[in-house]
Amino acid sequence: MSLRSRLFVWLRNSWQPSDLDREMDDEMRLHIEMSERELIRQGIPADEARRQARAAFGSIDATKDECRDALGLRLLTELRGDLRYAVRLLRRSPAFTAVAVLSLGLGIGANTAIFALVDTVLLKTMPVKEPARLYFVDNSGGKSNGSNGPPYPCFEILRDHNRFFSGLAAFDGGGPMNVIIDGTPERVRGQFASSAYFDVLGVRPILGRAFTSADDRPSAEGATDTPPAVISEVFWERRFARSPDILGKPILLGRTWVAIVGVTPRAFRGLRPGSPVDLTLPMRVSENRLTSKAYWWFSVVGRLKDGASVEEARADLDGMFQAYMTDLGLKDSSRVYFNQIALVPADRGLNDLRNDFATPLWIVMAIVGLVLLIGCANVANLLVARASARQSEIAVRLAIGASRGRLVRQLLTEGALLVTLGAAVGLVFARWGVSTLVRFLAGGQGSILLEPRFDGRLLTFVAIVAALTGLLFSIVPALHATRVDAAKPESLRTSTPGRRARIGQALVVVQVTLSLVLLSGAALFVRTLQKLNSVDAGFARHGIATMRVEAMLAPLDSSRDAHSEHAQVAQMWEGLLERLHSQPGISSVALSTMSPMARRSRGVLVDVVGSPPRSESDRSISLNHVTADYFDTFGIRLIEGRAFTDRDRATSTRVAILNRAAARLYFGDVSPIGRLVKFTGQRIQDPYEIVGVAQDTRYGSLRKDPERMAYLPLSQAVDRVGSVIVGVRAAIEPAGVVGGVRDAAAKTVPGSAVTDIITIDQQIDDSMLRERLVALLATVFGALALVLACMGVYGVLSYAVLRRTREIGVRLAIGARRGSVIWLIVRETVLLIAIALAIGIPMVLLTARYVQTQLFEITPADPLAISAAAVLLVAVGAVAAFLPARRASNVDPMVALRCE
Amino acid sequence: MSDSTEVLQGTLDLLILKAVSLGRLHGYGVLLRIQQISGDRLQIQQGSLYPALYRLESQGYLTHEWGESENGRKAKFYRLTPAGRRRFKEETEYWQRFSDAVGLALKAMPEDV
Repeated sequence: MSLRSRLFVWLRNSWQPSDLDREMDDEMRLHIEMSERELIRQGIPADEARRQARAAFGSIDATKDECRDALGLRLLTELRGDLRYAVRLLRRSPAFTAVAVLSLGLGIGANTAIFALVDTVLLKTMPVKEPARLYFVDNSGGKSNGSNGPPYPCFEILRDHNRFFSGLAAFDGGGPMNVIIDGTPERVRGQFASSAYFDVLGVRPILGRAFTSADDRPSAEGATDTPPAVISEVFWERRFARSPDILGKPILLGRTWVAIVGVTPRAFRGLRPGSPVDLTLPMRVSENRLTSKAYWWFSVVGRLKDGASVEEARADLDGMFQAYMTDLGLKDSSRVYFNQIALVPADRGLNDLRNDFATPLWIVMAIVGLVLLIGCANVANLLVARASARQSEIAVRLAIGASRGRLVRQLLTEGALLVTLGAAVGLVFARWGVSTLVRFLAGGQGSILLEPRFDGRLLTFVAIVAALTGLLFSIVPALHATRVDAAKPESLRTSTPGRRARIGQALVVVQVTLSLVLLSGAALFVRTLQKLNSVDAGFARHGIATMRVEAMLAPLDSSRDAHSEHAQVAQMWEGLLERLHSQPGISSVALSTMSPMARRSRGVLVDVVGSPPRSESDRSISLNHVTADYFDTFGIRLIEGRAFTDRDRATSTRVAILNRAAARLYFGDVSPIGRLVKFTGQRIQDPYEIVGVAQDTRYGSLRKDPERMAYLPLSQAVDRVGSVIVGVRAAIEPAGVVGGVRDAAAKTVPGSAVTDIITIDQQIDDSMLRERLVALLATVFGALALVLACMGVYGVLSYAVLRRTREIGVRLAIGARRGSVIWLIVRETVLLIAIALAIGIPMVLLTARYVQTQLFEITPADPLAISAAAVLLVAVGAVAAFLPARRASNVDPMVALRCE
Repeated sequence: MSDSTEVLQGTLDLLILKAVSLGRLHGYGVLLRIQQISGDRLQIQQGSLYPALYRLESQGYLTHEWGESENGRKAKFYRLTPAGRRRFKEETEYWQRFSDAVGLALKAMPEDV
C-alpha cells in the first residue's frame, strides 16, 4: 500500500478516535462471544464458558491500547488525554491561568511587535527579483552606503560601457512632491528614476507599462511627448479607487505635465525602507540637473550579471569613474567624498533608516527579550508552586506505574497549552503594538512610513519564541515535580518544600536582577531625553510655528546680472513679509532660508578678507538668509554688534552676522565687527561687512554641537531665494495663522505653495524620535518587568508564609512580637533583593556600555539612574512583601498549631 | 508437554497472512483457521492476535470490510491486499529457506564438521 493510503488510514483513525474505539469494541466482543459459544458447544456450562472465554482473551482495554499502538495512534491518544486534563486543570484555577497567560501574552506580544519592526526595518530583503544580485554604485568609497551615485553624465558612461552588469539605473532620494491632479493640488511621495529602474529591479507593472529606454531622452533632444509617470498600487487604490481608466491621466508637476502609464504591484514601494514612493517619474523631467557634470544628487543601482564577481565589476566601473573625474579636473582636495567606486549590497534597500534605527531597535529587542524571560520566570514559579501542590497526585501516579517520561510529557503538555494561549493573546497585543508603533513613527515630519505585515515570517517567529518560552518555563517545574519519591509517604517528604522554596527564590532573584537591568536602562534613556530637553539649543523652543513658502520662479538666466535678479526676488519676499506683519494675531514674523531644527542646510565656502587662506574644511560654513526680525522671532541672542534692520537694503552696504562658533574660529578672541568676508564661488562675489555676532544655535539635531553659521539679510542674498521659511510667533494657536499666510502668499508670491507647517516644539520632538521611542518603550517595559517581578516576590513570600504557618504560630505562642514576625518574612525579601542587586548592578554596568551611543550627556554608569532603579525595586519589593508579611503576623497561634 | 506449540515470535504475521489468503475472515475466524490448518498444533495468544491484525492493516497488507458473521452479527472481515499477497509470498519463501537452513544445521553430525 502506498504511503498516501497508509496516511489516509492513520488520519481517518486519528480524526475519529471514538469510531475506532467502537469498532474495536464490537470486534473484540464478538470474538469473545463466539469463543464462549464454542466452549458451550463443547459442553462447558454457560457461566464457566464465559469466564474461560474472557480469560483466554485477556483485557480488552489493554488489547485496544496495543492495537492503537500498532496503528501508531497511542501517542496521539495520550496527547489528547493530556490536553483534556490540562484544560481541566487550567479551568479549575482561573486566577493562575489568567496571570500565566497574561504574563506570557505580554512578553510574546512585545517580542512579536518589536520583531515586526526589526524585520521590516533591518532584515527584510526588497520585494524584487533576486535581490542578492543587486548592488548600489557608491562613488564615495562606500562611505554613504549606496545613497551617493556619480553625476549623471558619469552615470551614463557607466551604464553604457560597463561589462558586468545586466543593467544600471539611477534614482533620486525622493520625497514629497506638490502635484495637481484633476485640478486639485496634492502632496505625493515621488521620485525620479532612469528608464531602466523597473527592469533592473525586475518589478513588473500590474497595469499598463513601466518605463522604456525612450523615456530617458531629455526633451532638449526633441522629445515632445508627455513624460510617463508610474504610480504604486497603494496610491492607485487610495486616489483612484483602482479605476482601470487612469492610464493616460495627466498630472501637473510644477510646469510639466506627465501622464500615468502604469501601476506597480503592492509589495514594491521603492528602495528606501520607511519612505514608500507613490509616483515615479523619468529623470528627464528634472532635466536641468542631468547635464551638470559635477552634481551629486542621486543613487545608482545595478544588477550583476550571472557569474560576474563583485570585485571585477567594481574595478571595471572604477576605471571609468577615475577617467571621468580626471577629465573633470577636480582638485584632489575636493575629492574627499568622491574618491572611488564601491559596490554596496542593495538587497535590503538603502540603509538610512537602518543606520538610524539599528541600535535603538536592537536595544528594544533585547529589552522585550528580558521582559519575556521575567514573564517565563513568573510562570515557572507558578508552575512549581502548583506542582508541589500536586505532589501527592504525582506520587500516586508514579506508584501505580506511570513512567516519569510520561508524567513529564503531561506537564509539558500543560506548558504547551499555556504558551499557546499566551501566544494567541500575544498576537492580539502585537497587532495593537505594531499599529501604535507605526503611528508613532509616522507621526513626525520626517514621516517614517512602515508597513509591517503579519506574514508567515512573523508567525514563524511567534511559533519559535512560543516553543522556546514553553520549554523554558515548563522544563524546570516538570523535572522538579517528577523527582518525587513514590515510595516515601507524604508525611516524611519534608525536603521537597524546601527545594521548592529554593527554586522559587532563585527565580525571584533572576526576575529582580533582570528588572534592575531594565529599569536602569529605562532611567538612562529617560535621563537622556531630559538632558536633550534641557540643553541650551540657542533658540526659543516654544510658541513658534514655521512653514515653507515656495515660489515658482522663471528658469535661471545666466545672462542677467545676479545682483538685480536676486534683489527682484528679495523684493517679492519683502512684499510677503509686509502683508504678514499686518495679519491679526501675529506678534513677530521673519523669513529665512533655514530655520532651527528644519534639517535643511546650505553650505558655502567663506574667506576672510585680509587673512591667510585656510583649509577647505575650515572655510565651509552654513549660510542663512534672514529678514530683520529673525533673531527676535526665534529668540536668538546677539552677543556683540547689531542685528539686521530694515535699512539693510539691496543697495546699502552688504552686511553679515556670524555665530559665535564661526567668529571664534576665524577671529579668535578679537572682535570681528567691521571685518569683511566673501563667499567664494557664489554668483555674488561682493564682500560683506560683519556687523554682529549671534549666539550658537543647534540647527540639525540637539545632539550635535552647533555648526558655524553666517547670516545675511535676505535682501542681500548670494542665492536667488526660491523658497523661504516663515517663522511666526503668534498670540493665537499656530494653526490659526496658516490661513493668513496662505492668503498673503497667494497675493504676493507667484505660484505659491505653503508646505511643511510645523511648530518648533514638534520639530524638536521629531528630531528626538529615536530617543523618545527608546525611552518610551524602555519605560513601559521596565514598568511591566517591575509588575511581573512583584508578582514573583508576592508569590514566593505567600508560599513561604503558608509553609511556615506552624513555625510562626509557635513563635507567636511563645511570645514573639508581631513586628518580629513581619521582619521574619520581610527579611527574606530584603535578602533576595540584596542578592539580586549584588548581581544586577555589575550586570547593568557591563551591559550599559552597549547603549552608550544612544545616551546624551550622561555616562552609561550614571549613578543617579542606577540608584533610582535600585530604590524603586526595593520599595516596590517591600510593598509586595508587606501583604504576605501582614498575613503572617495575623496568624492565630491556636489555628496554626492545629493546622497539621 | 502438550502437543500444541506456542507460535514463535514473528511467525504470527506470516500465519495470519496465510489464513487470510485462503479467504476473508473475521478475527475469531483467523484464530480458528490457524488452529485448523495447523492441525490444532499451534496455540495463539488471543490477546496478541488483534494488535497483529491492526499492525498488518496499518502496514497496508490487510484491508477490511464490514459484513455479517455466521450468527448474523455485524463483523469485521479481513482480506489480503495485493501488497499483502506479495508480502505473503516473500515471507513464505523466506520461511522455507530459513527452516531448511535451520533443519539442515540441526541435522549435522560430528563427522560432517
